[in-house]
Amino acid sequence: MIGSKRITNNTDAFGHWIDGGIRKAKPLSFRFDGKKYSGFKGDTLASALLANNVRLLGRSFKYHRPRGILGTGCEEPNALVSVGTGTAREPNLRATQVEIYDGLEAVSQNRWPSLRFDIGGALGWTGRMFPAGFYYKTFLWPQRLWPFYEGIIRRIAGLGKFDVRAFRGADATTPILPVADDCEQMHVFCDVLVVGAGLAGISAARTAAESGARVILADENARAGGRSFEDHEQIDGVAAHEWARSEMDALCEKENFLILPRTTVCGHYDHNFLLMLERVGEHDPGVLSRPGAIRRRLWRVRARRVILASGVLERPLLFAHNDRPGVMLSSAVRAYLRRYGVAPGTRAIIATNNDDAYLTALDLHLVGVEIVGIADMRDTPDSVLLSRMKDAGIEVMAGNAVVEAEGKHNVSSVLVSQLRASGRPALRPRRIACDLVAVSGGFTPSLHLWSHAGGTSRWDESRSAFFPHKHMQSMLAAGAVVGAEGADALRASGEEAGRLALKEIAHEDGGHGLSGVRVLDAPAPRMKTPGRLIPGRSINVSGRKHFVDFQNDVTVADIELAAREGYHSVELLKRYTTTGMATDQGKTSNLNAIEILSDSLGTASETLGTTTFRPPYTPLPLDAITGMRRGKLFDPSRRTPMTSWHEAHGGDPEPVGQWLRPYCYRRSGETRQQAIEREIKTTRSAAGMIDLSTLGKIEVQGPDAGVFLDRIYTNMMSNLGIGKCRYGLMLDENGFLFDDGVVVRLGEDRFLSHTTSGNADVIVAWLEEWHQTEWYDLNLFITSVGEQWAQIGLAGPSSREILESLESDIDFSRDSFAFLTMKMGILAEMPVRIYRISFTGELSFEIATPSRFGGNMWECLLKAGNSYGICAFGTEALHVMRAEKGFIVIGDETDGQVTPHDLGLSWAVSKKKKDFLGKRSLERSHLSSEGRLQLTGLFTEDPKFVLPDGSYALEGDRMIGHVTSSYWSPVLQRSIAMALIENARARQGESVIIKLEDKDVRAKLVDCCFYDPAGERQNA
Amino acid sequence: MLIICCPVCGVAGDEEEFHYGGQGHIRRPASHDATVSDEAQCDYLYIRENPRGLLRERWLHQRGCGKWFHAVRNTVNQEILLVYPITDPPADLEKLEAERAKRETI
Repeated sequence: MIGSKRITNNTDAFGHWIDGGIRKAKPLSFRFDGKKYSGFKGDTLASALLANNVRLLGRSFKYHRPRGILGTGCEEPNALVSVGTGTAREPNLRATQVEIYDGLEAVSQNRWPSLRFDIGGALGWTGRMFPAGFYYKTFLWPQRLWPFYEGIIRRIAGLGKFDVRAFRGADATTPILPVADDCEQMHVFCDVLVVGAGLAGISAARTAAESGARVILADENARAGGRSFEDHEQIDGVAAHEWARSEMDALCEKENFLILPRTTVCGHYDHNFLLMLERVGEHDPGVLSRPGAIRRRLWRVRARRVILASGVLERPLLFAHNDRPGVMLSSAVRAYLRRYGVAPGTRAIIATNNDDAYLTALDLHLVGVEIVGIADMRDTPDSVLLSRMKDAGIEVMAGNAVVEAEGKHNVSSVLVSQLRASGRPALRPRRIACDLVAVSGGFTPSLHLWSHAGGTSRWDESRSAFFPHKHMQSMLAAGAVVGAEGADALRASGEEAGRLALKEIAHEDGGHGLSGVRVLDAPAPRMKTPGRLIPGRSINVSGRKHFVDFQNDVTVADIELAAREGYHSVELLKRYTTTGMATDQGKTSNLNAIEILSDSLGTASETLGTTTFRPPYTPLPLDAITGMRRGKLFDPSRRTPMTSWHEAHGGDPEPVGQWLRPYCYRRSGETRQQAIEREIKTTRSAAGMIDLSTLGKIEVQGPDAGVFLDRIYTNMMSNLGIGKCRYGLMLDENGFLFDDGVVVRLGEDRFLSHTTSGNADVIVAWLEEWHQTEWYDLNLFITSVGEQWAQIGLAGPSSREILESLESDIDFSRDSFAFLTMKMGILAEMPVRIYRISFTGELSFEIATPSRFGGNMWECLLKAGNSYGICAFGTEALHVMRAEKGFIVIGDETDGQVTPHDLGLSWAVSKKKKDFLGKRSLERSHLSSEGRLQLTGLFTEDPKFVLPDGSYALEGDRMIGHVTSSYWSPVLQRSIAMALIENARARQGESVIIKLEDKDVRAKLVDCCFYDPAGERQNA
Repeated sequence: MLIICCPVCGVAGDEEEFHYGGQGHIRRPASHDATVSDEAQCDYLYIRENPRGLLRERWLHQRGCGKWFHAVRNTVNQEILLVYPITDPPADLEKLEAERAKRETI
């Protein structure tokens, strides 16, 4: 019979309750796959389900094999579940780490239609489809069927589902909502961060904290104590876990100490920066229901020293069907007994290659589980252990191994075979009935964090594992991870690491320190651990799978196949077979995979090395990384003094740089296109105004300002008259155009540079960089005044009259206020700088006023313009009007590979200047040769047809350019476009074919100034 | 994630405060010579060191004092051995390497 259950009270040799006291805790009820179960507070979902004799928890990734619980913590590869309902449902949580609460809802994953009857598993046909490297082998032919294959693969293979529908609003256009806003981030500095609150970690923290150093101790479990619960050890005459508890009590009294339970140290980065994920409230809905409650907290830690006491993880043995539910890690079996009082079976066999599993046998025996034997791969197990087993009446089968597990949804029996000297099993195995197989393939140090930021490892032949070697950051390692065994050794190792950390810190004169790190030596183990591969009777026959990576369904045969196919590096093997690439990051499988490869190639594991461990140690939820930076805080938008007015008057927001600028202002009943046409017609016939406050405004002041700007711009700026404006171009050092704008000379030593909105901050940094790093001998200041000035573009034939209707000391007459000049003064009682410049091609003034007057000035101009029929216009109307004039927009007509010559702007490139940024590069042969793309206007043959932006122009099959801007021009009543086309200037009047998805369109190359080429309107 | 000490304002801050500026002490030929060969211009634009070891590089204290400076960083272990003003001559890497070796033997 099969059965796992909660055991009745038992005490161990020290008189301690063997159930960790859980039966005295509060009873809870929860649901799994809709069925109601009971458990106790302190249970994990895994322990509670085992207590309810639920042993089938999921289906595997590729083959849909039934899977149960293998481990007891973060190493668990099988028991992945989804927890919660609706938008709060989280997939792929390890049942071994989910603490239960009253009303918890969990469901199993990757099964259809149900967990017990799963089509994929029942048919068993998926196996042949997924050999090692299947992505590169199968489903390749015929290629056109790949979308079909992909659909099937995605349905078959997979982990938990993310239900997008739960996050959608009422209709499909509502964006996906963020899960929750209950994640926060903390920044913290400390002297010593101890990772892992086992015996070594506690001892290290205690030693370090005694000196007054700021110490943080983080552990991913809810309780400190590590494996001391299940190891039969004493310290100072008390059980090790009791000792751990009293040490923790003493530590928690200290103000310089912080314990963080349920906190996983996910990543270690340069200069001892670490990320830690604290699960604050997800295990307790009572906490979460409080206002302002925090679900998760991401800690960003800077530690002067890190002590890694991450311990070890047990690895499974490899035999046929070693993934059957009921096959569990030996230490996990002991943990379920001792921490949760759960016996995971009634009839157990122990399969081991080391001493540790004997403790499991003794514990199981103690609580009345029948032990049908210990299959020990070693020929001569420890004699002390043998006599203890004899006393307990447990049969030890030395030199024997489990070669196959039998059963469907649970192990019902195993085949045990004598191992020959060659390591191969004898022909006639014994069949032994059992419902629990406790396996131990030895222990693997948890090197993940050691490796994240450059720690190296060394192979220890006697223990068949990699251990920490050298670290280039200030990280120490202590405890089981460096090979310490036994409570006293763990404690001593921790204390030594604590002392060493303090000593190193004391030697530093502050700072983070990067001295080399010594690994603490551990005593040699008693016995060599033999290899873990136990070949079954028919290792390569389909259907007898020996699983290495349980979560990604990678078998021994897969790795051997990969080795035969030439994948001799562990890094390539990992990517080809996907071993170690699942969400568990191969915690139970990596070393076994390396050993199989090593056996297949006849190379020592030592020379193969390990794959690189990368953060995070366990999966890190995205909302923890996002934290509070969501919604409006994700990328806060900047506002101009007029933004509120735009919002109140139908401004259709469009992201431009960091701002939301009105694309157009829609009046009731208007479509966007109608609004844009109205704005253009009004501006061209009467007057329009636009908020230009987002333009970059940089003042360059000082005796050398002119010389400096001469080097920055392609044009000469030092000869600009005071009060004059000049359109300027900036190139990067490759000779490509990257910004443009109007420069105004405000005084002898004072210039004002206008930049595009999107580049406002970039240009300030650009000017600073060149001034500080190349021309630091020039005497000048660069000051961004973008936020200090509001700027309004007033355009249209009535604009002068509107300004004249306001009270002002400025003479706006044509003769006094010439095109490309600037005047300062007072307008409507507000201080202004007015520039007579034009981007629309109309008579136009740009009115700049200190920001605090911006809103007032805007309304004042609007009011004054009312009798002239003025309207506000948005960015799209501005873009259409500038295109009608053939003016370029950075980012439309430029793409980082376009020179001023390409754009027909050679007039703005000084030939007199000795040097300016990009000058030398402009002279490179390929930038001045024939055949470059040149700017041109395009008229489509059908005047009603507006080309899509970015369309390609073809000559035969050859692409000869592309459309850069394309609009419907309301004043011309036809479509217009600008394009970059090979040798366009020599081809004016010719036609090109524009290739669209569904048709070819013929367009004629014309001058790109479509409207008022003589400039009479702007000069009016 | 590095901790960098700005030599201009003296503040030691997280890498997030700083902006990386690539290899330092690159001579801009056009600032000095009337004629620059295509090869020299190409080297200036595109050819950079990529050493395993000490690299002189530029950093900007972007969210701090706003100043550019030089640093010597060991690309192997990310140690920053020296920070110095942007206008200083190139740091002596051999001397720094010797000092580092001496520190390690102590």
